Amino acid sequence: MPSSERRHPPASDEIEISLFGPGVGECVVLHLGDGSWMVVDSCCAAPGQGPIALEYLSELKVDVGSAVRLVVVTHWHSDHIGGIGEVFSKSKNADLWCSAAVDIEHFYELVRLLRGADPGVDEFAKLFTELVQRLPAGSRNVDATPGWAVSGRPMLRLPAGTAQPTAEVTALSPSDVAIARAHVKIGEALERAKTDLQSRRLVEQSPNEAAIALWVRAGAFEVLLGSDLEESTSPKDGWRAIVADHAAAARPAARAFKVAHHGSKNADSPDVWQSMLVSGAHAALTPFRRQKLPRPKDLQRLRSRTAELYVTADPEGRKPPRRDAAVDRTIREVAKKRIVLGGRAGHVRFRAPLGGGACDVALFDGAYRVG
Amino acid sequence: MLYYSADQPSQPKRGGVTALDQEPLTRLRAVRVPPPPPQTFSRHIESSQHVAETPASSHRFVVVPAFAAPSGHVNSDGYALLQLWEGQVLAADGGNVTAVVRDWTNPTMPDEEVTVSIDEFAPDEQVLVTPGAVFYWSIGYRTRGGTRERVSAFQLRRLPPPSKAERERAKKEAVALSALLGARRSI
Repeated sequence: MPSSERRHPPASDEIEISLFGPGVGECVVLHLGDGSWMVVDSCCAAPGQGPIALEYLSELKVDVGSAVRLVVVTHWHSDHIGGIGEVFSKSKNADLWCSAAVDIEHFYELVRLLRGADPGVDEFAKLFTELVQRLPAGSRNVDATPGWAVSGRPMLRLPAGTAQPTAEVTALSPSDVAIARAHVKIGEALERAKTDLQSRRLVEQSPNEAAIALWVRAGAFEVLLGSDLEESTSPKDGWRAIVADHAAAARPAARAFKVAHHGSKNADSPDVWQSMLVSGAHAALTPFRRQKLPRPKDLQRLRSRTAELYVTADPEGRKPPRRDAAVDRTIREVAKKRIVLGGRAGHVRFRAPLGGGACDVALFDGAYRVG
Repeated sequence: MLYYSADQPSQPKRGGVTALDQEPLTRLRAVRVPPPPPQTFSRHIESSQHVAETPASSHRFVVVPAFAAPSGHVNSDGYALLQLWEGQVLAADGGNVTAVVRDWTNPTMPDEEVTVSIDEFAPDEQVLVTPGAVFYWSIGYRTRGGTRERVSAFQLRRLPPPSKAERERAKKEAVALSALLGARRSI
């Protein structure tokens, strides 16, 4: 679909779920009705450009400063936080929510030690700075503190407006067990940072288990956003815990699903599809080319569960761009293997009436339907 | 060449804690000093495929490479940079190094994952090529005495570990930030 088509904003009584992903990186932008928006994670529109969420909302002529009500950082992996500091600083009317896993002194200390040497850590430094700057000088106004997401905690509740019924956003994770595990890993990362002789850069561990999965209800439309949350062998965390909580909460099934962790087998839970999603739910995911996700068999598995499966960009990537001839010649001599990771962010857009009705799908910038 | 010093400037305060982006850089304050010749730090290959090894750096405070000059600029050493990437090691095993490289010459180019031989790094530095390590990969021409070489050089970023004072200050500010931002709430 031509890019000009995506400049039309949703109607005030429509929900929109827009998923962006360039190859490595992910961002979800949602319209909750009546001109209220939320942003989940962040990536850049293209190499060297700003956050895709701000670019897109600008195209729609949305006033980011007033219309964005919620910014969520699901976890600290660099492919989910590129530009998130800028997104939040422009979203003056938004609450910030992070995983409770990072609400620990060791994490603040880690950010202070690695700031300036690690781009991912710098994004958290920007978030903390913005939060501090929003405080009246000398105050300890807790209303300006971020929300710390744990399983079952409500994050946003918008009352019924002129065109839309109530919208609610609830955290489905992390569990207490996942938070405790993440705290151990943060402590280990801090010890490394104190003695690191050569990099001063955070080595990404596996905080996926502490990621925030989200339940969004806007009118009659329910959405499940899986972040990078992976399955667990324990009933106390991962998707097993969420499925159990979902049954207890007696929520209706979701019609749209942001597939968890790039469609990987590790994040796959048949129970999610059976008990949390409607049959034939609209599902979308972003690739993660560094780990070659999703693999062809991942796409086959997901396609067997829904015919409405969409990916923001080709998981294989494209041919390396051409540079100066001498540079290209040297790369061929030196590099045994090359994979292009990024590029222009592809875009999968779902829109549906808040009161119920068919879901409209639009694809931009290389996004495609899995046939 | 940029070196990082461990200067400790005073810090502005707001709301009981330091406003992070208002704080002058503490550990990473850049100081310009004359650049050493690139071969001091790295091993390079020539276009003839002849491999020349040169002494690795024992510097504790390296840094951003001297060749971070505009592409095509010829420095006093006769070196003209064509291409520069910053890389971060993802894995190093079996004699290979896999890394994500970001184009510093043309930031509109997408990041790439590349796999190269560990032998591209200076022998003394290979032990430091571990996941998370940051390096610079430059490609350029050096012209000296009527000879032109095409040079590919890999150079690790080296930063000092945080000093005791830095660690103590980070701890103190972490306690303050946690007290200010760490309050849990629900709506």
